[in-house]
Amino acid sequence: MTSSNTAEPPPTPMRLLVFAGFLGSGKTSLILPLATLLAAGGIRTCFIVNEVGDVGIDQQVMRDGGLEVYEITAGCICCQLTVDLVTTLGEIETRIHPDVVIIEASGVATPTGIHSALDHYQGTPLAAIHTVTVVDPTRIEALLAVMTPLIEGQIIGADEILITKMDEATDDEVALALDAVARLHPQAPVHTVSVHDRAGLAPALSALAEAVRP
Amino acid sequence: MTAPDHLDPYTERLRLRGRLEQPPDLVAGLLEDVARRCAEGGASLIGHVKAHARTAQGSFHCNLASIRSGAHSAGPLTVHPAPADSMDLDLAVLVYGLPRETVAALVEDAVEGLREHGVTEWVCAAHAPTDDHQPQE
Repeated sequence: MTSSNTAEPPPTPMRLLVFAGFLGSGKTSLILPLATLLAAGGIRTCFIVNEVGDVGIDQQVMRDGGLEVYEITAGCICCQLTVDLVTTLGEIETRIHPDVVIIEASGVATPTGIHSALDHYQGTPLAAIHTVTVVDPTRIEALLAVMTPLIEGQIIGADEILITKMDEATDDEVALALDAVARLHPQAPVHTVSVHDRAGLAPALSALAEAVRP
Repeated sequence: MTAPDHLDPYTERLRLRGRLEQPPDLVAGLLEDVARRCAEGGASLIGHVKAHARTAQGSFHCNLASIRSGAHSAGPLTVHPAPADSMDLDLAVLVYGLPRETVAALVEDAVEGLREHGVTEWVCAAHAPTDDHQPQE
C-alpha cells in the first residue's frame, strides 16, 4: 500500500546566504535589518555566526535583536572549523529546517573556503548558496595593500557586493572601492549603502532577500 | 606596505562596578583607548575592537573598526541610557601584529583608566561571583 496521496511533501531544501567581508566591515549591522525584512516576508530564517575569538560578540548582538543564532567561535569556518560548519548546518536542518540560513563568516574567511567546506555537507542538497561580500570603503586602500589575497579573494568569490559606510567614506574612498570591485569582479552586482542613515539600504536588502526567496 | 603579522584574537569577559553614569559612552571610550594603545604598542592593523555590555537596565553593543572612525554604540540601552552600578562586558580585540598577552596588558591598562570615569572595581568575569544581569522589562 502506498501513501503517496497523503504523505507530507518533502520540505523545501534550505537556501544559504553567506555574508563575507573583513573584520569590522559591517556584516552584523546589515544582517539585522535583513532579518527583519525576511521575517516580514514570512521567510523562516536561522543564523550561524562565526567569530575567531573565544567569546562571541556578534551572536549576542543578534540575540538582542530576537534572532535564533548558532555560534561557532575560536576559529574560522573556511579553514579551521569546516567540520563545525557542516555539523551545525545539519543540526539546523534536522531541528528547525528554516527556509534560509544566513551565515555570518568571520572577517578572515574567504567565500571559496566556505564553499569548499559546504561541499562536505551531508544533508539534503542545498537549494542555493548566495554569497555577499561587505566592503568597507574607509579602509579599502590600506586593506588592499596589506591584506591583498584575503580582500581580493573576498571580492572575487562573491555573487554580490555591498559597499558600506557611505556616510563615513570620502568620495575618493568610495571611488577606490568601486574601482577595486570593477577590476576584480566586474560581473558582480554592486550596492552602496549606509546602515547609519539607511541610504541605499532598502534596495540592497531587497536584492538579497530576492536572491534567497524560496 | 608589507603584510601584517598574524592575528592573535584576544577576548575577555569583564565585570565593572562603580557609578557608571553613561555606560554606552564609557564603553565607547574604552574601545577607543584600547585601539589607540594597540596602535601605539605596535599593532600593524586594527581589525575590529568590539564589545557587548549588559547592565540591570539593558544591553548594548559597541564597535570600532578604525581609530579615525571611532567607536559607535547601538542597542536597547543606547536609546534610553541609564546609569548603572554594575556592568558585564564581553570584549574582543582583533588586531594584527600583537600577541594576545600584550593586548591583555594594554586592555588592563585601559580598564584601569576607567577609574577616572566612575569605575571603582573591575574583575575578569571568570573570577567574579554570579550576578546575572537581566534587562528590565
